Amino acid sequence: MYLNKMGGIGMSNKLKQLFDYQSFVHNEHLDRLIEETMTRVNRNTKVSLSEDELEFVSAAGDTSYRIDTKRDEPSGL
Amino acid sequence: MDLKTEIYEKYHQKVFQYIYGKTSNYHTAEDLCEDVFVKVFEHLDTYDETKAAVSTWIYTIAHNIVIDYYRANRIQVELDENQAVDDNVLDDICKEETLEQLACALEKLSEQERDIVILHYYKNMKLKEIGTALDISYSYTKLLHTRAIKKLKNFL
Repeated sequence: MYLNKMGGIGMSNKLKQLFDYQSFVHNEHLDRLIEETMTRVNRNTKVSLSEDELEFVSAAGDTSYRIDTKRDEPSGL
Repeated sequence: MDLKTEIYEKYHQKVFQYIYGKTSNYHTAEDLCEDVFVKVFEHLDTYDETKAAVSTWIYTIAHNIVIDYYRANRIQVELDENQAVDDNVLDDICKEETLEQLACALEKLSEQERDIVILHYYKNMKLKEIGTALDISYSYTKLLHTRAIKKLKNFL
């Protein structure tokens, strides 16, 4: 229920509502805190990439990777 | 510049961005944005500035139009009974000074507690997803969330 037993609004719903309102008015102070959080989370996500994932990213970024492999194939096959 | 033009110039972009954020569809956002301003202008003479700021009043109209759109299109995402909010409740909560109070209250939390609150309530992430994003266990995320809510109750 939106209203709690005391007839007031629950804290979780109050926060949902306030953050929804924030997406409309964009309080600068709150925007800064949100940005800081997202920076921390993005940094954390990047750090947590596994070795295999990093290798995949590196190979995907190397456009000569597949061409070189083909060049090594024996001719006449 | 007349009042209607002034309101439109000041709030059109905000309303559009808010609705686009909810619908992720440019044309739908444009249509709903137009609906908002039709309603705003129709009821401009009934707007009571002693009850709520213009921004809160327009936000309430935009919020309810998005809810109506979800209902009409049977979109269940994020639509629960909590979102159907009485206008008076919105008027009480949605004030720019309350957002400033929230920002100050969030600064009193630990970094992890603040991240959990922002990711859960602003980014709509589940606590399990937040635990993964912050590299902490689900049970610890739940504990920090409960603690943060308790602290915020004292500050807000």
